[in-house]
Amino acid sequence: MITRRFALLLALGVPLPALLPGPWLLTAAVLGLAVLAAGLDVLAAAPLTGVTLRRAGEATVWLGETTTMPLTVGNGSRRPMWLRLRDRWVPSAGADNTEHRLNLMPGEEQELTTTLTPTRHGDRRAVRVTLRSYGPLGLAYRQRRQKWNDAVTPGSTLRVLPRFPSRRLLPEKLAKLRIFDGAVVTRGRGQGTEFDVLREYVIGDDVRSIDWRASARTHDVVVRTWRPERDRRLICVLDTGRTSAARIGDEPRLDAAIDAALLLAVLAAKADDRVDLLALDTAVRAKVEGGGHRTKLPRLISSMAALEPALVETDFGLAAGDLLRRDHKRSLVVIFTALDAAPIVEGLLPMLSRLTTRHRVVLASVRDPETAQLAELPPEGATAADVHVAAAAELALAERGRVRALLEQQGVLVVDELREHFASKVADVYLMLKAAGRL
Amino acid sequence: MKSRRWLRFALPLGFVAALATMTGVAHVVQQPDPTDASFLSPTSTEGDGARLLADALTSDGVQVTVRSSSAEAITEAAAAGSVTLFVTTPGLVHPDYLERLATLPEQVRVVLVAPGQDELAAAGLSVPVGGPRWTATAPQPGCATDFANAAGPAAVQRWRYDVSAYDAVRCYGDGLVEFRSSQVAMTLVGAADPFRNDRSDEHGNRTLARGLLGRSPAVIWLDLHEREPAPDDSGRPTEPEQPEQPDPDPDGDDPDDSGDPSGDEEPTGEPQDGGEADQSAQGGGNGVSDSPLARAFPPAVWATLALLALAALALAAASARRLGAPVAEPLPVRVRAAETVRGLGGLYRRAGARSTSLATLQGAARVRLAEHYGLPADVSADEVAERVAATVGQPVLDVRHMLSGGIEDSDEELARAATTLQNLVRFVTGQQNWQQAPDEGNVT
Repeated sequence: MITRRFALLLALGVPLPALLPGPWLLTAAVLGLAVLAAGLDVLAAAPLTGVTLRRAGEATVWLGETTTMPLTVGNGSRRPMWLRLRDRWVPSAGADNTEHRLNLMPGEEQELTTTLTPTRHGDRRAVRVTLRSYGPLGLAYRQRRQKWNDAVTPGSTLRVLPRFPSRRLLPEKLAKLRIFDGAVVTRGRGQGTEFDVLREYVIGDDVRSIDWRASARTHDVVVRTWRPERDRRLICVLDTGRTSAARIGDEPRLDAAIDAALLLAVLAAKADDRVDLLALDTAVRAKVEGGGHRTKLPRLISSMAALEPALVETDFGLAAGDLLRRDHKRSLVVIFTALDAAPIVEGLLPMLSRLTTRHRVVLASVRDPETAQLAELPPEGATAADVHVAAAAELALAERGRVRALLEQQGVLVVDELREHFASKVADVYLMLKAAGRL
Repeated sequence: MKSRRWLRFALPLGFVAALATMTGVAHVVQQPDPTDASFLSPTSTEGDGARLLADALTSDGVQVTVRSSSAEAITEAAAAGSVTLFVTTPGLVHPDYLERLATLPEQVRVVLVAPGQDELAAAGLSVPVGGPRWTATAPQPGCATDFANAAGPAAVQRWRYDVSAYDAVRCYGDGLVEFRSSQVAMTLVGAADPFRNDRSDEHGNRTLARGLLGRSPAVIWLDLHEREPAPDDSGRPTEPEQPEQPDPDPDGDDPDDSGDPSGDEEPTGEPQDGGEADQSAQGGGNGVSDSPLARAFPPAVWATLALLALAALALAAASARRLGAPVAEPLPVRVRAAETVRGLGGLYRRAGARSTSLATLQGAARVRLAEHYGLPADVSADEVAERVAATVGQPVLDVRHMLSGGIEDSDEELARAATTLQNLVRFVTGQQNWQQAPDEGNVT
């Protein structure tokens, strides 16, 4: 294929037919020379099969951060290589400097870096590296078909982890946890319901905790100490159905749910509880269970990264079936969904009674501030259309209130909070339950 | 995805190509074929026959003799003296016979129907041919011959004959020309339409054909429908005569010879025209080189332009190839917040459900006020109204009307009632001063 330089060459030949005799012959000569030069140039260009491409297969980055993906290009041919290449990623990977020019001597290798600032969480893929090898004159180049380029492109995936703004709440919540745990000396001994150890009575201990039977066996007065339960189970159920796609502020409801679930997972992992994850709409989208504490958290984060809202009605029956099938102990089930009447009344309510008998259920929903705003008319200048919308908003609010009441009647703890306090509130509910030993 | 993109490009192009091909094929099929037995045959009554014309000539008192061999027809014409030799299919006549036409005596008039460049050249006539047009058109006669004046417009202009080299009568925009080559009088008709049965009623076709052929007392009608074999040896004697005849091919090499056939005709044709005729002969029917635009500029300009066009083309081609196609990716689902609320509000508005909307707002307001006063949720509206009236200092009836009354069915009324209601709630719950809207609202 020819370059613009070829066109320039032809353009340089333009005055010749006008100035010299034999115009048609000269035109043919100019064209012929240019074509000949371009042909030789293509022949002299280094073969594309000599290019070697290498790249790290995977990388991880938090959403909102920028990373670079190095690509190593080598010249395996015997000729010098003038190369131009484009490193294409999917648009949401936010690839910046994708086009590179380089000049490689035989056997030389060079590392290129493409800067990526992803705009969405999930797996962001490198699609293809398109290669173009120029001849020494720059008149023509070699470039192969898309399929060939696809075949030589080293596969690479950037795993973009979801935004986790509630990270800043973590120290505060962990401090609360440590108070329960007794690791902080402000409250004397640790609170909790689970038996920890027997130790000698010291003045100041609660006399109610003296273990008389143990004291009889020894010569000293012995007290029992307690600690919060460990190895409790916590299951985060993320609804990725249509209600999770609605935007709260600038992000979908699902992102807020992921943020809160992450905070909860980190907290529970620190408190030595087991955290499982179940994300579903019409099918189970992600499921994390089992495994050691150490590896659990990265697995959770990683599988949450790939979640995306889908425009389908969530089938809570899948979750219920899964939760009821489990033969494990009582768990804390936190369902992240929306307090919308239809999906909850039709999908969740029928199986709620069975769920609540086996597990403790918390339903967490981000409240949409816009509905409340729409229900309020301005003191002046409202139109009839505003009034109709306000009426519709009042209806929605009333409905939400009814659903909430219905859920609470069934023994479900409902967290209905604005985005700013959502994750914190969910964590507080967990800490409260843990402190009360009701997990 | 890929195949669809290919289709998107190919379908419209294919459609246009198919349309063009179909039109071309239909046109070709519709054209009369000289090898059909009926084509301009004096005995055929079909559309492309010429029975009507033959009958008309007979009734005009013209003696029509039909011949199916050129040799016979020419011999007879040479013997008969004042006669019109009507050649319907000059393309099928062997070139040797065409050549012999020039040897016919002076009184003979030869009428050729739609001869092509080759036939004219074979007949020794240097007449550049223009056309053909898509169909025959019927221009005004534009000449002062009897038959043309009588006929008026007639459909003869499909081919055009440039007879500027001769002292010729040029009619119908060169669609019909008459001139004298060596001795014989030649008439070239640019289309077969005037002679055909199905076209004889159009324009002045019938009159023109009768006038054209009825000038001599007898017509020898050469009705030929297949290519003739070469004359055995009879072609030879004509060859020595060739130098006398104008031959366009040798003419092309030497412009000076162009006026050769008749010295007195040369002054009429301008030297430029002679050159033009040469060019066309040289180009072998190349329409571009003899166009006036081509002659307006020197070839250097054209060569420069061509090179510029090539450079532009190369630039376009070089810019066209992408370094990898853009990548597509499914977009995430986006649902606006409170979308259903807005949709429901729109439905209320379209249905004109003003009282329903107001009742909903009033219900919500009562619940809020009851909460504020610490009343049970199922408290009656009157009780709430009394408490509010006490707070605000307004008649209970007015407040009750605000909290549960209906309205007149108009948008302004609805907006005012709803605003008043909410302002009242905000005042009672301490979020807003009383002064603003309710005073206005009280007027109702």
